[in-house]
Amino acid sequence: MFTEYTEQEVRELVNAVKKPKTQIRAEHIVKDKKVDVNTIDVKSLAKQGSVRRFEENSILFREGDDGTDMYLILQGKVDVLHKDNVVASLEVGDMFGEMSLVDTMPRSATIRVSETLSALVLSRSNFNSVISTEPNIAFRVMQTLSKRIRLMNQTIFMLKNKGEEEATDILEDSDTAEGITDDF
Amino acid sequence: MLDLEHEPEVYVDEFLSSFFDETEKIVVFEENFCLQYSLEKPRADYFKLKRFLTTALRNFREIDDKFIAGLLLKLQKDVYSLFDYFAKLQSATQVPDIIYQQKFLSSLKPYIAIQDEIVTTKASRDLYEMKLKQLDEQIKVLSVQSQNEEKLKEIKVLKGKYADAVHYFALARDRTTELGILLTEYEGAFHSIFVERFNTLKKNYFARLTDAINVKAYHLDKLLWDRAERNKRIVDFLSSANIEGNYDTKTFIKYYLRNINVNTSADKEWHNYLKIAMELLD
Repeated sequence: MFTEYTEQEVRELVNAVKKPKTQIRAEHIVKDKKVDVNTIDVKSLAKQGSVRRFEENSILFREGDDGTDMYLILQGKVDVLHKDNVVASLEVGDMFGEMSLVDTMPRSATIRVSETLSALVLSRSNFNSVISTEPNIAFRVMQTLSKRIRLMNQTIFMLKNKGEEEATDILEDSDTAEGITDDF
Repeated sequence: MLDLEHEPEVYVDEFLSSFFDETEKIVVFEENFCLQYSLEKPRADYFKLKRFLTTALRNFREIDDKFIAGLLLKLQKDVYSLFDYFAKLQSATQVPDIIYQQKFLSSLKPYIAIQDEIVTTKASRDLYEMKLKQLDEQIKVLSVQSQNEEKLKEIKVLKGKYADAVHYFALARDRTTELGILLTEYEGAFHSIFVERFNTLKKNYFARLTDAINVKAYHLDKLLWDRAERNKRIVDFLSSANIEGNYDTKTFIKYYLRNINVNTSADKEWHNYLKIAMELLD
């Protein structure tokens, strides 16, 4: 009794109550999803993670939140928001949130569901386990991170030479626009 | 006649405030915690679902002995200590009459003073009664002996002492009776006020404590399953057990009910509640 909780602990409790339902037996569910398994080894990931469903307009995490999970989109789409502006859109096969698991820094963008989402979710410990046991997935994560660094460099260059507005326009037209943020 | 410094309500309120002091502090602390963070209230009754929490915690600890740690361990200890306090309070407040007799009345100084005086007066009465018997014996013995002047003088002195003893015996006896009546008056004067106010406070504290514990138990339930779905051993265990459903208590109850024939169950009321809980649990 008279137990004191830190702000962080209370946030964890509130998040546990608010988070969407997770189904047991993720492996079986993933088999039913029409995901392009060539983009990533979904089966290997599914053994470690769980599939969650998120309704349209729900917020998966916000800028500044602590990062605890990584997401792989199985169905649906999400918007990436930076200071209330949509800076990218991600769809089936895309992953996000992995950088916070790598560098333990807070999220630097907000993720909002734009089309009912079904995502494979990996916690930090499961992510670490996957990375250490599945080289092909580790490589895929490295590819994603590398792509983002390139885009970041490109953004900095454009901002320096052409101004923020033009740079954003160019990046929004890009096929790999998810790289605008350093981590989501 | 009762000689009270204050109205009876003042004595009762002072006592009840002290009796429920710890409960008041706990309830206010827990309510403030819930209000400060606008914690969500559950629709289900976790006093009835407590055994599922306990079983899930035990089962998951058996699967992974490091499972209950950190915040989960802290909240588990907190919630269970509140459940324990609730049970302790239930037991301590079960019979208001006992608290009235054993604790409240003995907290009243005038009541204690009367009790003490009764003891002293009774002792005095018994002493004079014994003295009267002794004097009576002595007078009888002297009366049958030769009646010289000296003996008569001695008998006269004894009879004087006897008369004094009768007087003091009567005083002590009457005072004992008076005090007995006064004591009964005290007991009666506070009883109905005490029981009424005690029951009102008790009901209020239990309702508030129930709400606060329910909120914390609900958060423990959610945190427990949140941690479970992040635990590889538990995920593997539940997956290989062919369990279909979500990571939550609802699924736990669903599988429990499957193995119970509610119609032949000894505790139909509880099992019927579980069916209702299935609707209430989100």
